[in-house]
Amino acid sequence: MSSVSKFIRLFLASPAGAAGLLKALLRGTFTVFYYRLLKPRVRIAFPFFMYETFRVSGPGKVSIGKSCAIYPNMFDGVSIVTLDPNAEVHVGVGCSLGGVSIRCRERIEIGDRIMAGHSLIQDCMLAECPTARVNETMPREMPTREIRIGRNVWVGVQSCILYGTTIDDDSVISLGTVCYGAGIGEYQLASGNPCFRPVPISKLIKLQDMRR
Amino acid sequence: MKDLVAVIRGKIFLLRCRLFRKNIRIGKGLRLYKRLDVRGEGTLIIGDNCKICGITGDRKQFVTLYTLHRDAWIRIGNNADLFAARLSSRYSITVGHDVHIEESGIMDTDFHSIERDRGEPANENLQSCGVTIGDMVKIGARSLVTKGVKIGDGTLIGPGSVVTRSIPGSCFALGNPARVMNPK
Repeated sequence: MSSVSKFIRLFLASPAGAAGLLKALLRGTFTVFYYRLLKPRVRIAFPFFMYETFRVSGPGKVSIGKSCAIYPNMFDGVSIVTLDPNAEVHVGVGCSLGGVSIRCRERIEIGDRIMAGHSLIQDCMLAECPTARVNETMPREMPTREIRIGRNVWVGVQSCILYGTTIDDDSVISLGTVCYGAGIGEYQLASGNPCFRPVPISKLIKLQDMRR
Repeated sequence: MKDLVAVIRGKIFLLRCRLFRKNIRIGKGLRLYKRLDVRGEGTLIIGDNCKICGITGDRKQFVTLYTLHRDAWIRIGNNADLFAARLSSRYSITVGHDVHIEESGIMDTDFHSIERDRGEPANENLQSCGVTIGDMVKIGARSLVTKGVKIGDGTLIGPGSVVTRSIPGSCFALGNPARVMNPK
């Protein structure tokens, strides 16, 4: 009931916005039924808002929690690619994804209520060659390790999250960051290419207060 | 089925090049999985058994090979795999055999000068700006290779890196600017 009253309030405030929301919900519902019927390995929970294109390809498993939304960002929608039959992508509840491209070979776990811009989440070095061998010093197979992203993380535009990265709850990845095998703790800000030392956000807020 | 279509598309492209565009020379066995965009008057030489694809999951990106001048040339060796690579050359780009380039850009010029008129860039010539990429090099997604860079044989450039200085052979480089690191 509360969602209906919220919608009525939105309609009174801006009819165009409400129409866009309805259109996104309709598009999302069509997508949910399309994947339920034709690709049962992709499970999308019902309230799914699609403002932009959404594509899933590849043989692996994908599950998306309820009331996720897909927004346009850099003229591009979300694409999820699983490159291996054993690959698994889990996206939590209430995420707002814009232009994210996910390429998974092993396992990617994304928590609840994530905000993400036009970024790349990839758990292998090269997406297109499975058993590349550069020379004898390199490992025989390209390294793949799972990515884990916690709750309420904000991922900035044009950032890359590469294999072996774990990001804890409430963290922020600033724009243009390349996270390569870094462990980013709880409530920290990561920046730089490659990102070496994440800074605790509570410290940054203290610094801001001191400047005032 | 896809492979067959790719081979046929490659044959048609070869025929078109032979009839209309004398500046393009392509070896045997080209496979075109996605559109190949070639522009400019410079020479383009591609070796045998090349594979040209878009990146999976992205419908918009394709391989572009641009030459910006009559004297410019791009030379790509045998067995190259290009996945949505964007090469634009003013002087020369040489790519070795067995390379694997994935959704990244290679350019050997700055396109404009830093002065206010934004004219032709000064102090650029063939010796200082040519890009050379060795054999068996693999370049990850969303990385850039800028002018005057030499990459040795068997090097791996990680995703999201910007290569501004030369990198020796058989190592792993990542970051902006790209530095040699240990692979984790």
